[in-house]
Amino acid sequence: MVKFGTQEWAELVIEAINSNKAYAKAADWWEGDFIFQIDPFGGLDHQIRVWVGLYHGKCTGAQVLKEDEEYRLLEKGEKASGQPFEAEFVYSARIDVWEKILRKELDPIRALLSGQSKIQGDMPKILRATEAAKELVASAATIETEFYD
Amino acid sequence: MDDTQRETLFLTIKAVIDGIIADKRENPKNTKRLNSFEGRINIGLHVEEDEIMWINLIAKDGEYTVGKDALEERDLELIADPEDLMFFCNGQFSVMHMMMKRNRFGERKLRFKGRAYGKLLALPKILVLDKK
Repeated sequence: MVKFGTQEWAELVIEAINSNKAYAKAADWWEGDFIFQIDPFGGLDHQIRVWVGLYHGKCTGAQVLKEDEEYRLLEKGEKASGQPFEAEFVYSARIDVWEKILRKELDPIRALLSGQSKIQGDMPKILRATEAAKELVASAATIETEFYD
Repeated sequence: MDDTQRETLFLTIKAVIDGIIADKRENPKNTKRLNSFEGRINIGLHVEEDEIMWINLIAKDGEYTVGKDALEERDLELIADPEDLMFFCNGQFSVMHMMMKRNRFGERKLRFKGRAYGKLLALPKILVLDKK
């Protein structure tokens, strides 16, 4: 078991995504990195942000941001400069919502459309990639994860 | 659903509709239709078995505005589960699918009231993303 939102967990996310053939197929056209933001609640007393690089069905890296590290949300159509940490999308939810998503008790799209999670970024692009989004989360759900009780 | 979740959902749906209109404006073939469509539409988001959250869409003079609550005077009233509405907007669910299939509450995925059938039939051209 690895603790959710740690660098060790992030490394396993890379492996999980890159071994998910359904994700590779659904996201073969996708270019756009994510910040996954985990907001404190219950046993978690601080915010966690994880940068995840995604390019044509593969995960190019995953990094937990330090408390003093900032990220930049790219404008629609803006290309990444290669500097850390830039992302096209930010998907955020409270830790208890993330836990339900990763335990497959809540679909990430339903979380979004029930007001339990938020997304920032180019909405039409994400609307065209709902299957890829589900597979992305399904990849992370394969990791045996310990949460913050 | 609490007030924070309602506000978050409103902002998400507003971002979806605003994003689709902006995306369609990038294709000059859509300009005439987007500029000529006018309507006052109440959209009921069926969020829980016994809860419908109302928002509205006003299209006038080529401008599209998404607001909270239902309008008193409207041309059309639609009710759908927000997830089904999103799959309609991204082209995954057709109008026929939305009219014929049942949602998770056992209701038709898209219910409507109003006699503005022309506006109803035009909606897919306004609210459904173009394929790329």
